[in-house]
Amino acid sequence: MHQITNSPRDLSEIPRIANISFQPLAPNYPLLSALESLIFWLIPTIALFGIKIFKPQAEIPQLVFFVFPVITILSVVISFLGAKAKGFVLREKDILYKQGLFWQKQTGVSFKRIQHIDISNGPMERKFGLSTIKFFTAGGALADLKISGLTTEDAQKLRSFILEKIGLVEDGE
Amino acid sequence: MASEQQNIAFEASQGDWKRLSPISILFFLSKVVTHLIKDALPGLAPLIVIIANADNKVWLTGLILTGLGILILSSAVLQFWFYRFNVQENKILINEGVFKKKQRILGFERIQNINIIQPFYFKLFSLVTLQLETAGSKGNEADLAGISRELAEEIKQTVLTIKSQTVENEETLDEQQEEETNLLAICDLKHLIQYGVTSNGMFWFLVFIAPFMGMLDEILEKWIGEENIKAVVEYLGGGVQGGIFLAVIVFLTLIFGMLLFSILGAIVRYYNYELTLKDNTLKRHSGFLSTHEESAKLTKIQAFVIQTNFVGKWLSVENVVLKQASGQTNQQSAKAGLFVIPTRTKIQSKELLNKCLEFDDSLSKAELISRRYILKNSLIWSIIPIGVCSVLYFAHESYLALLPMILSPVLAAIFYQRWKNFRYQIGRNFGVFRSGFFGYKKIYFPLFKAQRVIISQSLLQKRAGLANLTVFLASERVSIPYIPMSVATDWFDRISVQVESTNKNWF
Repeated sequence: MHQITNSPRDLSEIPRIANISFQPLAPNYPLLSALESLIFWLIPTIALFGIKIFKPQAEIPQLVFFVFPVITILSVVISFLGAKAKGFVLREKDILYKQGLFWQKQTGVSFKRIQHIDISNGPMERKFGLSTIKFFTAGGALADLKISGLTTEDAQKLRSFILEKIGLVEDGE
Repeated sequence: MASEQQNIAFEASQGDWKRLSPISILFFLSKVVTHLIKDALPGLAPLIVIIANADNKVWLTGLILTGLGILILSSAVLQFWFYRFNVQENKILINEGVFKKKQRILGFERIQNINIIQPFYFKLFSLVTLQLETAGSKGNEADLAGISRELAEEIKQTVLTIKSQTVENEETLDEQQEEETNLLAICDLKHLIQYGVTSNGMFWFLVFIAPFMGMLDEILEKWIGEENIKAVVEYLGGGVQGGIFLAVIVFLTLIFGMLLFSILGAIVRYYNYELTLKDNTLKRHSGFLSTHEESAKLTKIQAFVIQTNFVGKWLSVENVVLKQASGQTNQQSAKAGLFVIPTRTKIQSKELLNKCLEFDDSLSKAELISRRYILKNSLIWSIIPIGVCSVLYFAHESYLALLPMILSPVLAAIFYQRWKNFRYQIGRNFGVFRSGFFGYKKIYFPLFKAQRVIISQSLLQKRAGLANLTVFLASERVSIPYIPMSVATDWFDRISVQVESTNKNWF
């Protein structure tokens, strides 16, 4: 039997999320994010100019040549700033994650509710030494929390930290 | 794990392989036929072509039907012959399959739901079907069709005792306190008719007739004929007026058909409805042709939903749905996971809530969400009609082009009505969210059952100090739009505290 503690608490002692400072992700993550979005938009843009150069007779409206580079630049800037705006906090019993530039979102998942944890990294992420960690909960696919842009070392540390916590909880019961 | 403690003597000797009752051939027969209709019907189309082109149609049709019949029958018999099961101390082994052998082991401690069903063709022989569902991957469940009721009950008891041993001590204490069976709800015919009218079963009728919609043209042309329609229009007064009359009559017939379908469906499904509570387990017994018996642990309930439509509001009755965890199991069991309690009065559903979820009435006052919800949604949805208007206006330069603008006030009225129906309340252990348009839907959920919480806000919302709150439960998500940021963070903190401080399992 484990001991149940239930000491009385003052309402002001209850942890609040309103005054928490978030920890930013890896310093090179904004760069990776910008690069990824650059590559994503560069492919259609290059294809477009390629058509223009090799098949001059193709009729493409002038506007398109203007729109694509603008979208590319905008999305690169937004990705960069968006990555900068992301952050997380590891608390004693849960993990909080915030994201969003225009639509801001704060997510909280208690360690108690995590079913399992995945770490993945794509080729680009590996070059940067970064990883994506994903926490699965029982609320269906929409309820999974994904955090990109952690250094691989941090992601692994985070995973073992939380797994240990979950393990401790299970032993206690 | 805990299985070491389970040294209870079990009557059935190990390694005793049993067959189902031969009557279960009927079950396999119905399975083969449904399988055939669902998956293989297009494959049978060439046969019809062959029949249509043959000289002696009657003879060939007879031949093909007999062949098909023999094939179906032998397939059912073979499936029965190769189906064997072996009930052991803490697991059940099932071997089945004619060509593709399948061996399954269901550990009793992993079984989530046990249902006893009696299809009408088993009633005469007093046999039942025992459905075992596990929480694991899809397809890892079993139907023991055609076993005696005694054996089914015996297996059920074994599973329930093994399961209750693995649950925390705290909970078994509770169970001992409440030994006697507690009748929670029954439904008579009047209740079921009201349920048919107040649930959305009506729309199943549309799903039901959808496949026939494609044939509508043909039916109109061949069966009814243009002349007859014209004659009816004439009879109703002729011209436009007659046409309108006909349309109204057709519409009313459709509504009536939907209602009838819904009511009949409710009666077939919930006839003789009885809900009991024993040992913290809910048991439901109902059905007209086939008797269904389902059970669920109280701890598995994730949310308590009370809903009704405008008719129900007028009759002051509501329908209760107990939501269980979905997601990890397949679609079918997710549907079975719904525990419907038809036609309750407000007081009755409150009582059920108290009994099922130990609801404490410490709720705050019900609050409305911010009025900005109306503004934002009407504006966003008006973008389309306004866009259409401007394009039309530039193309035609006629004021008639501004007609779609009428949609904007309509949209505003719609969102006003929706806004008026939103309510949220929070208590020490519970959250409540109500939404609706003509009717309403109220979700009560224990705060500690939350899986994950999201607070989101757009820049405009941020400036107004507003936010949207989304609580993910294992059964569904609850989204509360346009509440003050301070309220959203308060919910977040309260949920966190409840999740961390409650030692009960969420499932």
